Amino acid sequence: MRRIFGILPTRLWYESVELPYEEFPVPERAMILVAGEGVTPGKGDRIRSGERIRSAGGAVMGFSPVTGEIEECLDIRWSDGEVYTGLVVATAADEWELPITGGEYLSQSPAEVRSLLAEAGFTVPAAGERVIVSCLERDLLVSTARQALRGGDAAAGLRLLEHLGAGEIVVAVPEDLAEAAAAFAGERVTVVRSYHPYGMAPLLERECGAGTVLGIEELLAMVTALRTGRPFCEKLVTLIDRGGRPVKNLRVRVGTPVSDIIRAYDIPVEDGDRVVLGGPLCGRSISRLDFPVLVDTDAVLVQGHDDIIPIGEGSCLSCGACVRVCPYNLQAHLLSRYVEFSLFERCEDLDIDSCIECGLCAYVCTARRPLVQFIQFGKRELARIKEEEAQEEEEEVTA
Amino acid sequence: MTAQDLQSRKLLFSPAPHVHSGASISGVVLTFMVALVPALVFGIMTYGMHAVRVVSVAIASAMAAEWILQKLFRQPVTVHDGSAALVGLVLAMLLPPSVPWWLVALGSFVSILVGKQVFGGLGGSPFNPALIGWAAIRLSWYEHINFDFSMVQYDVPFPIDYPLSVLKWSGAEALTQFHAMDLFLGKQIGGLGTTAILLLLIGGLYLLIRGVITWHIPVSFLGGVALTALLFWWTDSAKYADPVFHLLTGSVMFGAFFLATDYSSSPANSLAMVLFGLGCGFFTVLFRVWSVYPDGVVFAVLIMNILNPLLDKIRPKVPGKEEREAA
Repeated sequence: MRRIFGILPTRLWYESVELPYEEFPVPERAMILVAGEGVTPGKGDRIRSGERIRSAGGAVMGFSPVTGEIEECLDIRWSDGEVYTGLVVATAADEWELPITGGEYLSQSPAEVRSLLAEAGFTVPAAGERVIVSCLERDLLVSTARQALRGGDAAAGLRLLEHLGAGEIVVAVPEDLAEAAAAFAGERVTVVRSYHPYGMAPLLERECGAGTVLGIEELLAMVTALRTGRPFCEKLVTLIDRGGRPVKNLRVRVGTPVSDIIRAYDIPVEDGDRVVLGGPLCGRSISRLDFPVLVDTDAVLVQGHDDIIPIGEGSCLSCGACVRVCPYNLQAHLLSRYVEFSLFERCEDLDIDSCIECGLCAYVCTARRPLVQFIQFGKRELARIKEEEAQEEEEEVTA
Repeated sequence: MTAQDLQSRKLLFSPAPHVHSGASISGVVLTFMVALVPALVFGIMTYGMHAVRVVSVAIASAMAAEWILQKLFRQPVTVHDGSAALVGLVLAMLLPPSVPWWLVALGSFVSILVGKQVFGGLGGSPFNPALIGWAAIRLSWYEHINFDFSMVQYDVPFPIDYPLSVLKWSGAEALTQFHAMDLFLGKQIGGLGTTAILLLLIGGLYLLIRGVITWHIPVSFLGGVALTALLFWWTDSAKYADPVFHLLTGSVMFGAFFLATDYSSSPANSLAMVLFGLGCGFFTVLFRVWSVYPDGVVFAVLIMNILNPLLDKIRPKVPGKEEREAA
């Protein structure tokens, strides 16, 4: 992606091609990833599709996407430093334990529909709230929103929002989908910039005005849940081959190991390659291929080791490229240096918490510094320091 | 490929983003060097092997100094990124072709030591390193870095009077021997790489197009020179030179594109960059009018380098910040 005319601003456009689409079969062995430890059901238990998975404290952490016996409980630590439990399930034919009863929902009262959706694990916009339905991709090379729009009943989604008593409804679309969207959304269509990071929720709000951003895929999943009673357990995923080549859009059962997908499409993976859940700018790399597709996984990206530009170890040059590209006018060059030298309070003065981690600063960085990682680390440390301070104050008060 | 094969793969685990624009330190350095080539070739065509000598000694000694100092300070050696070579090249282009080799080497060494390595190497220097070296040898061995006498030995096809010295010592009336077009085409005495205004402009435009610098600093630098010179010229056009003369002489064009734009010693935000450039231009003319030095570009840039941390406090607003704080 080398550029000759650097005078032009960096524009990373979202995908606009339609990929072939396939339904991916339920895997023989699935992994359900849940945040925290000590979740129920546990090892040896039989789990059914749609069954609630609870944390040690009893809170609902998610729904099982598959039916079968839990063979193993793995402790998994991911790049955010949190501990996850991986429930490895030997799958069988689906037996559903539906969290809600599906059926004709438009005849029920908005409050009833609202509570049904909440039961099924959805976050529903409050009554009267402005809703932005996003038909934009959340990362480069991904085309799941496009696929959802193509294959789904978007009009039913809008009817549902109307029924729930949402305020103004805005349908945000990239230029080339404006016509298709106008067919079901009419006047509500707003064409927005379709380059990164304008598909991310905070920037969509900036483009369309404040409101709750709801992805088109999530909205359609709500409709499906109300009709069938099933929680969200099938995810659209763009499969991206080496060389940044999107090859297919798949409908995958959540919990499907990445290795199953890679094997099914004969994508070679060698030592030193990188496999990412999500797109190239915001996705998270994984260290093991039995890692599953999650509810928010928009893509499975395989990168050959030849395509990987390693992180630079040098110091910042202050060239200012990161400053020019930041949609929030943040000073990534200063932030990264303050974090490097543990000057976290100074990061707060520079609005480190405004960062949405879109990845553009690190993408353009001349010294190839891992700017996003520095900022993530700075945010975490700052939060930790504040927590400690609050605790100390509390102790003083009680003493 | 079996499932076991796949599971045993050792994957690269790293933070997002997973792609990069391909920009690199050596790429930026190379772009700067390429941009300097036309003016450098002009200097070599004018002064011959003398210019080649100065340039090669400057580059070689800057690279050697970097290597030695990094070894000495137990730092990873980064001579290969070319940044030291660029410091040497920039320093050489400011010098007259007659400078003795040891002075060139000393200038390079001081540039790398005092200008760069004591501040932690690339990216840490609060001043443009090449200018530190230049200032050191200019103030200590004035007789060697003097455009008035050093040029007598060369057979050049244009007046051998340094335009800015003529202005300083004989006043604006004596400037009739210089024509703007000649100055623009490089027919003037000066640093071996700073006189070819047209070629520097081409090099500067190349930097702009490649995106390694932005328009803010060069344009405001030139604007600052023109505005300040205009003010003086308006008050007394017999005593002070016109803005065009100021723009086309000395190291103004070189400074605007290649000296003031040094990354670590200049601001990164647009408004701060504009103020920085205006300041450079303003001080340049003040030095030319009121100081004992014929040209003031280097000192003007060094002064603005000192102000850089202050200018860095001028930052654009973060969108949505007020709403978040109100919430």
